[in-house]
Amino acid sequence: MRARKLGGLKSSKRKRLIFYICLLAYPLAHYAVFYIGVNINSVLLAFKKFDGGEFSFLEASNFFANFSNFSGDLFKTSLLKYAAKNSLLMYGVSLLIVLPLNLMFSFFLYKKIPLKGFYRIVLFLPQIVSSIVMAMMFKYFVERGLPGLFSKFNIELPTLLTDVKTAFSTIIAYNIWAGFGTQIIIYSGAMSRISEELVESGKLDGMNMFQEFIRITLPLIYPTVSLFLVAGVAGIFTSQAALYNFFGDEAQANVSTLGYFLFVRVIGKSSTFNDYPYAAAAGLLFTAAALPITLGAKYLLDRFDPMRDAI
Amino acid sequence: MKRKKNGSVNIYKSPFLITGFWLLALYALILLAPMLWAFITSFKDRLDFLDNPFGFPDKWHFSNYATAFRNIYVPVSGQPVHMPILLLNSILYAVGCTLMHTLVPLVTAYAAEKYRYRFSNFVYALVIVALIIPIVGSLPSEIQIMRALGFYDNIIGIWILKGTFLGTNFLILYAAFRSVPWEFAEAAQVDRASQFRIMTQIMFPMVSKAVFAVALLSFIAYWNEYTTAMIYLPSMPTVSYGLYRFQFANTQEINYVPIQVAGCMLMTIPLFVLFMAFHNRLMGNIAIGGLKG
Amino acid sequence: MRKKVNLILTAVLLVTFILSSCNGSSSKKNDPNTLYVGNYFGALGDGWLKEAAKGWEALHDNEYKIEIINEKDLYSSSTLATTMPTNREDMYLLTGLTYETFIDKGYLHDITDIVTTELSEYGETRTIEEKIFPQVRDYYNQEDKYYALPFHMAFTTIVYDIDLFDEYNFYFNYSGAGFITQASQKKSVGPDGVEGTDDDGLPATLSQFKQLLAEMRKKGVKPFTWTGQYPHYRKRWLASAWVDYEGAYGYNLNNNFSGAYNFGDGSVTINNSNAYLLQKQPGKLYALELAASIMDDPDYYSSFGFTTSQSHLSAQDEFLMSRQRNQPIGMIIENTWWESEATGTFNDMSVKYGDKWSKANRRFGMLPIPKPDDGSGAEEMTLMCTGGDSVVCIYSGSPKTALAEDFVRYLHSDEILRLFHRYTGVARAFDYDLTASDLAQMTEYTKIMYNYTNNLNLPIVFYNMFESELRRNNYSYFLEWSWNTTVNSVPYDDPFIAFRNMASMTPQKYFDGLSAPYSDWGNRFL
Repeated sequence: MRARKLGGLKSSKRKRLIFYICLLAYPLAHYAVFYIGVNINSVLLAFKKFDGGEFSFLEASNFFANFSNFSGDLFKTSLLKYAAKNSLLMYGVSLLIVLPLNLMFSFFLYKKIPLKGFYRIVLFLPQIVSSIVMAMMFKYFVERGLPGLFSKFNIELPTLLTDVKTAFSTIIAYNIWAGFGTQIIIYSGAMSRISEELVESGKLDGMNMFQEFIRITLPLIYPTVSLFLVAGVAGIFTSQAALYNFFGDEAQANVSTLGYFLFVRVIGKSSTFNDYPYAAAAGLLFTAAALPITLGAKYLLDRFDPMRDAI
Repeated sequence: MKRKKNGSVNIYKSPFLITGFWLLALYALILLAPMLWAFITSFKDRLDFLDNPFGFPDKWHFSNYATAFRNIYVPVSGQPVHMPILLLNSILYAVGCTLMHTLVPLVTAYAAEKYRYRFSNFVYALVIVALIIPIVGSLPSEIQIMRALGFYDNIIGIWILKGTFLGTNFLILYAAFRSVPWEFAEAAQVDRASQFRIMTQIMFPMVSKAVFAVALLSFIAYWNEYTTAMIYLPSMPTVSYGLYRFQFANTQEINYVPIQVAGCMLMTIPLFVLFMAFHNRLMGNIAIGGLKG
Repeated sequence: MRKKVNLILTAVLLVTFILSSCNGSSSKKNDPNTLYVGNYFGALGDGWLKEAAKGWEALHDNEYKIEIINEKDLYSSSTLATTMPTNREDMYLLTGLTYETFIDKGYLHDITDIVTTELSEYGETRTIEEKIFPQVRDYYNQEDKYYALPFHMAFTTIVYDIDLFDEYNFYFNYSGAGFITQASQKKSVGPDGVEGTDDDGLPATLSQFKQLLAEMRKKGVKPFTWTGQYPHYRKRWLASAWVDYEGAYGYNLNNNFSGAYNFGDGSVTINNSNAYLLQKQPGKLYALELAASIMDDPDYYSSFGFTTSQSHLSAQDEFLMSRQRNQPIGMIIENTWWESEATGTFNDMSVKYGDKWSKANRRFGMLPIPKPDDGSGAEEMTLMCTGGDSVVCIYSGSPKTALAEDFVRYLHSDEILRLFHRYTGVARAFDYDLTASDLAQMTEYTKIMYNYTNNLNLPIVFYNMFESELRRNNYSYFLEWSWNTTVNSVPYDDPFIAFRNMASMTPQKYFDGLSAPYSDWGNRFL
């Protein structure tokens, strides 16, 4: 190890250690409070109720009331069924449409196609423009601009964002539309680190661009991609898919997602401290459901790492 | 590789790149059309917009911008807080959070990458675990803890909240440090430079490009985000939150689309300028490691 | 690069410094000779109040002044609950207030004395109390004391464009079987059954209502528009249909949870333990049938009516502009004050397209709720006031309560009650008569509304006026209670959206699903 190579005086080793501890003291304290503390508190909260101005633990006979309330809602109404279905659909779209597009667009930028400077700005725009502005522009364009355009040809458009037949597809379209930005930068950054020799040798083997993309580029940036993929699984349970931007806390059941459901439960106009334990319990159940999926995804991604055998 | 004069590749040899070019062109059109529409609409008056929602204004009403500027506000304990203060709050919020959310990951990544104690691997693992284990619904708990610490409605508390090393900023900076060889430091160590000096004067400058990129990305994200201010800073609302509320405003003077989109433009223009000034610094300066560290 | 960063940082610091320095002392002075009047600055504006203030100042030889403070969001109950003690305002005119809570907090000044003393200084022989509508008196009178007076009285109704109805002859002929073909023909007697009144020719029954919608569609007129951003407009109108069916007594059971009611299978005494039964008052089923008839055909309503970008103001704009744009819309669901709210649009239109589009020159009317074909439900018409919790009140901690009391009395003299009505077109829940010269200054629509709300002595029910403590204390539970249903395990709280989203939805299915709270009522409240 490099540290050992330096070796030498004991005091310098100790100084090094002390300095190291100083560097990490704040980050770890923060971690203890805002990660471990928050999550433990969240678990406790799931077994509490809000009564007479403060939170207290539920009685033993009723200890799982928050969980049973939530599971009651889960089975009694289809609100949560819709939400679960929509959340999965949204994840599927991000996996099968947004991610491939992100990768391809990054590749095109990396390959310096014409107008790349312009495209680079365009692809990063959804990141610069605030999500609330994106949502407002999209909403007004879809609800006012497009109908105005189509009415010139005497075509009456359905109200895309609120018609039950089109609402969720429109939300999906929005999420694709506004779904580019940071990932492009990170992927194309990773691509630019691929060694030129490797690319050139591929060329000599007669690879075309598409083959280069599939056989060289993707395998080499695979670690970055799989990291985002694994981290993205949680999105099934946390993403509110911009619904709050569009509808405040009044989105209809048919467009709801799990993330939105929980967010509104805590932040909504009519929500009170009474809703905190419920949301915490629901979150705990979601986490329990998400954990095996995430670990499974990680396992699969590791298994299929194209570089696994190469190294 | 065959390049044209301006440095771009000749795409005509590759069907894949031609497809890519047109795909990007299509996306650019789909992205920019609503924005352009919004921009044009922002100059119309109410009747003009009703008459002709898709087309050029019959008269250009630049005053819409002044109207929007005057009317974006957030009530704070009974008093309206207007744009100048909202801007100030946004600056305090975004700059502070950016500093914290860059410095803390920077220091942590430095420690974890350059000090090869066994604990360093553990720190890296913490980041990865936090990234992949989905903790859902901890918002109520976080609100409670923030209140308990006296950080609720307290800008310094919010800066502290955002000063975490968890997340992609750490991974980007970690990867950046990895590409800087330790030999520079060794030379300095022979000169008896302190650990602190090595870190601040030798190692940090080596990753300044990545730091800048990370900071810029964070700044953009914090500037645009409104939920933190909405949830945690009732007395210090930001421009984003002001705009979020603006769309639900219901006085006749501002409750129509042209004024609303003028508000959108107001919010976007400063960031767009900032981005145009620095966008070259973003590209190629960040990369990220994988799950295994 | 570094230069750029430095430059930006310096600029940021500079801006921060400048902005923070101009955010200095904001405490406003409080003048002992000025009465600060907080005015909820919504549709009613402040024109009438300025006028009233001028009159009052003159009466006091300009010794005292009135400063009007116009606010909107800052005057919600939840905000005022914390800000009233620190605000400068001595008194308020508010569109809604959780009256009891503010009494409990001790924020409201006891005004019993001035309310129960004759208004002799204005040459009147009655007290303010004697003028208050009897339906609302009990609500404001808490244990023999008054802490506030009702402010305005507004109704959510169907508003129709008389000019357009005239142009297309959308009136039933005298026999009621079809429509008139010429303006000179005799119209049907309308819902009130009396010839020569405002509602002549308008649909009297549900089937006539359906006929009208079909006729409008046939002639290329879209029957309805409304706001999509605020679904409660539609729901309030629906509630007023329910009220009209049940009559005042039956509906008020929902506000007081006490009294006998017959659901068709014998009389039940409603109390806290069984108030959930009210979920299935037959009036609701009828209201649902009305909603279903409107939602029957997508051509019956503007598609913007279900978009969140359609605020009540853009709905008014769409309605007002529709005839000018040759895409006519016949009716809008709106509140009494809508004309006042849309003043800007009327003005813009008359400037741009000519004086015939001005507020004074356009005629609108109120379309009463049609009655069921089978004659079920209450026979007479019952109105539902939607702003039942509006108040005029004085802050108890004000150093100028005596001055404020004097102004409150002035505001409730006949002259100023009339002034308010004349200016805003909106009624106050007091007994007063507009003069011919008042009426001459009002629009057709506000005159018609005045007729319904003040002249005809119709029973009026006040929404939001909850006498039941159980209902008051569980405000958010009951907020969307009335229309909460579950059909095929999908929850709905908006009948219009339910009919739109679910092709197989029927009024009966929606109604059956209203019984969802039956099972958890006991857990929750008993």
